[in-house]
Amino acid sequence: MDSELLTARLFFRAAFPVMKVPLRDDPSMRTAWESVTATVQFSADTGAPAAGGAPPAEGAPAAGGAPPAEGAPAAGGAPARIGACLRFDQGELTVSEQLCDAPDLTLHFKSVAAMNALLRGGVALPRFRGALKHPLLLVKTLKLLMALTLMLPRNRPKDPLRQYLKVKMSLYMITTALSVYNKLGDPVMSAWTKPQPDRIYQFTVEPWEPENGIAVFLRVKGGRTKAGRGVYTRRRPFVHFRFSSVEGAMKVLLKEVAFVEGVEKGYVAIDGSPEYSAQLNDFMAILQGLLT
Amino acid sequence: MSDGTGTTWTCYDAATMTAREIYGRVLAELSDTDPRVVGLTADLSKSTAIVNFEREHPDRFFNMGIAEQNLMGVAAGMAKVGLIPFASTFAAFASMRAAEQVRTDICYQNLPVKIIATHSGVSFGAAGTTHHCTEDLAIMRSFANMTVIVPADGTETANAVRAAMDIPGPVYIRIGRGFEPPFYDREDYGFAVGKAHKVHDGTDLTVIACGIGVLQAVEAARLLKEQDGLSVRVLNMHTIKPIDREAILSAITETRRILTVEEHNTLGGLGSAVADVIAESGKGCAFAKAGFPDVYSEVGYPEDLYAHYGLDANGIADRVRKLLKVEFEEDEEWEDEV
Repeated sequence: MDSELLTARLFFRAAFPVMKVPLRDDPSMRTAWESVTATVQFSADTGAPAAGGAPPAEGAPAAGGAPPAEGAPAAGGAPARIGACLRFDQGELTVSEQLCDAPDLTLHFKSVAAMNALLRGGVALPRFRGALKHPLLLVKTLKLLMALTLMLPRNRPKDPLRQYLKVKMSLYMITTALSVYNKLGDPVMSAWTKPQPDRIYQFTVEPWEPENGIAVFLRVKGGRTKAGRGVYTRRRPFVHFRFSSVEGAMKVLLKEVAFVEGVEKGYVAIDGSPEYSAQLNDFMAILQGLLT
Repeated sequence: MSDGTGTTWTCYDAATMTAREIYGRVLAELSDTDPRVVGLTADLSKSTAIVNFEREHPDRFFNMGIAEQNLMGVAAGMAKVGLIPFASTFAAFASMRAAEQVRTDICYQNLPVKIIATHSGVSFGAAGTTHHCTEDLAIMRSFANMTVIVPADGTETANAVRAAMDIPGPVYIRIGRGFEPPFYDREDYGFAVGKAHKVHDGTDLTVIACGIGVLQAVEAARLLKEQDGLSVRVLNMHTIKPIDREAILSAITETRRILTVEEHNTLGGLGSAVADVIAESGKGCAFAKAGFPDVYSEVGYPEDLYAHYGLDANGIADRVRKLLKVEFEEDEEWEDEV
């Protein structure tokens, strides 16, 4: 798969869903969205020809009827347009990797690379459709997009809430990205997951407590993967990354200290296989390279 | 624990470190400090290594002749008057020929007779089925009041013999023929009756073993780590009764797959004791038992028999691979949580 296309799909499936974290845990964001019921589409042209020849019109379904299925080619090859549909229902967000049926607001990019550039925190101007009709929705959407940039390494929040959000969002995204990367068929990741029996790679930030604590896991079994939230209770983790605190996690995630140094200084402890934790770390580095 | 786990084993070790030899030595030590200790056998003084005790305390040693029922009956009588008898004979005779005396004379009265059963399992190899003993754990664990211990090697036998002194009731200690490679290299690793010893940690599967199976299971765990990248926990379940429920429950919840390894019929021994705990827990767990599959063993050298019945490291590794493929999990939801 083309690297930009792969990156876009990782953003759709691993980064966009993380918007749920500020929507739930950031009081100002929650208040802004709690009464919003709307559909927002992010889309980009891939450069591949559409079903009928010319590229589809902005905001229109790819082939004139229902939106194309996830990743489905427009005319037997690569899809002409890719996108993600964000549905807000009284502030509750669901994300699907497909074009919306009738979006209230569309942010459309001329190329996948341009969209990725913006999502990586760079500069790229999309075309807006529905902005005049829904100006407040546009403002709120851009604000929500800004919240995603909290995950970028250059972003070093000082206040505790934003630090908490950054660590939580980063761990949510990285575990989902690992799972999606495998599901999208990366050959190296597949070769890594396939021989493994049922295993849990658990991440927790101490002190962990069920309601507001930060805990995520990646489950691997015979080539299948799943990103999960909380502590997996059905078996002991094969590898357990235990961050000493939000601050400790920040230092490691922001690469203020190298991972090994983080272990030495007590910011993170690893229980379980050192070989597999190093291999997982390598995949995390690959994904970080793609997404930031 | 020995780093080589058997690979550095020599003939010298056989003479000094095996369960049988250490039993004889420790018994002699115990009797130096406790005048209640007496030793009995049924014409197997040398074979069961109680000869060490006989040499040092001939006045407290009693050879009952080839009469195992009498051996157990006399031991019960001695216990009744305040002595602590150690009765040594082959496992096949202790558990089957003298079963009624062990049950009625010793266990029923909860008397502190310590039965040291040597040449257990198929360790008597070429002597054949009459001298093999693959039923004793099933028999002994069904006798009320009885404590059943299967040490992994000579060092653990020393711990078990010493611990048996403090148990107020009967104890059955099951050991081999005297050619078992050492597993532990020191005695202070934390032996406690009724508490399994975790000798290799892992999360993919737990092997619960006893006796010679412990060393083989650890060899298998190392092999599986090197060849398959698998993480296998090994528990030395030296005490079959009372079984360590806590260690089994942890294995169920933490690894979800359990294989038992014993030099015994798969019916009634360690595997059955572990299965009881799994069933009573109500938790899901893939489970298999390695042992003699309800057959009388072939006759041959013990090492050949262990390999034939899959009780050596390679056999255990193959069973682990097979058990890991068993599908039982309810948790088959693979949608990412977002």
